[in-house]
Amino acid sequence: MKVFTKGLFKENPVFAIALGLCPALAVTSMVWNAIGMGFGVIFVLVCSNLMISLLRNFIPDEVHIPAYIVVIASFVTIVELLMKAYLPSLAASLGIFIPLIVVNCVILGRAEAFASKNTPLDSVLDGLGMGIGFTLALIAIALVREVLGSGQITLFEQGASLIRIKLGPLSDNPIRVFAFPAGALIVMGYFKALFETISKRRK
Amino acid sequence: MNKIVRISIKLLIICVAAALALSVVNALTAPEIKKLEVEAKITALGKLVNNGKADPESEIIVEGNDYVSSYFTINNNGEKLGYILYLKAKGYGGMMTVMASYKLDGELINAVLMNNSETPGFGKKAEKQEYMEKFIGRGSDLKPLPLFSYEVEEDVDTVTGATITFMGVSSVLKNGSDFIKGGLK
Repeated sequence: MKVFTKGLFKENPVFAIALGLCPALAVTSMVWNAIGMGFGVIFVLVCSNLMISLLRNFIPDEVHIPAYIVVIASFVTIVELLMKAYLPSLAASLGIFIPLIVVNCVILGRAEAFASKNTPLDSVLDGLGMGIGFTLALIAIALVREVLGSGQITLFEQGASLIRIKLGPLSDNPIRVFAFPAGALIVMGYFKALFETISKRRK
Repeated sequence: MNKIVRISIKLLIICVAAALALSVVNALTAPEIKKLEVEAKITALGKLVNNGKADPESEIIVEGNDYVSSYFTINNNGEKLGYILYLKAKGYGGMMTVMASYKLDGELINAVLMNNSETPGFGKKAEKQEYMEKFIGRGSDLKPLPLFSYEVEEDVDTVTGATITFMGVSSVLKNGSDFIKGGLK
């Protein structure tokens, strides 16, 4: 169980290890984007961890990085094709950040540090925990940014279907800086400070 | 030598397995993606024409042109009013597709950014209709299309930090206008 829960808080990829910051800052202008990117990363993390764990005795040490990249890139391409076919609005919204999951340090990091040395079951649990931790971090950043920067919360958007909560006066006069990349850095900084404080108090 | 061959074979097996898995997913998703592209094209054709009509089935493929891949004719009761071009542009995230409608003198009626991999929050803003406003009504000999952001009127909002997208869109719209002025060549 520890293998699963460590990714949620103690070793949270975004707030504790500071990995995968590029998508964490770039796609968090809307909660729905964060949810979509989070689920994409969970799928790729779980599948690549499982596959790399199964192949850990087959992949030669000399070429393990290229082999991992082939496995990860394949799962990312699968996610991209599925999103383009069944969630085209989300695919259009996330754009280049879907193929860039390939170079997300969280995924290669877990493959190298965990899946290549552990059993398939543990690797799946590790991928699931890290993926959920990454998704929760993205949703937290996106929630603050969308509420303050746009005065709304977008929970679902696909074609004509839209679930969006408008937050009264804030939606007419939002604090626009939070919708821009600078706002992402500010929110990330505050979350990191909060995270460090809680971690220190726990110790 | 044996070791290198063994490693190469193992890598080859992984690559072949990955290619097989991807071909299966591609076979399952390709028809759905194609259907969505056709729907997007029909929607764009409707958006691009405010007077007359362009038949989605009357697409004419252009061979050997770096910017124009195909075009449709806009007709109103048999009278030719202009053209809708399918244009290929180069953006920050790679190739982009732009659909643009023009009058017979090369003046832009409207344009829509279709497939693209531009950065969300920056170049991706070119998908919005307001982005194209700065080009609409320009392209004739008297009022040329702006190629650089400083050629746009001051009251028009350009997107900060998305110069490559702007250059890609503006140059391809100009090339489309020149294609029509040159007698579709």
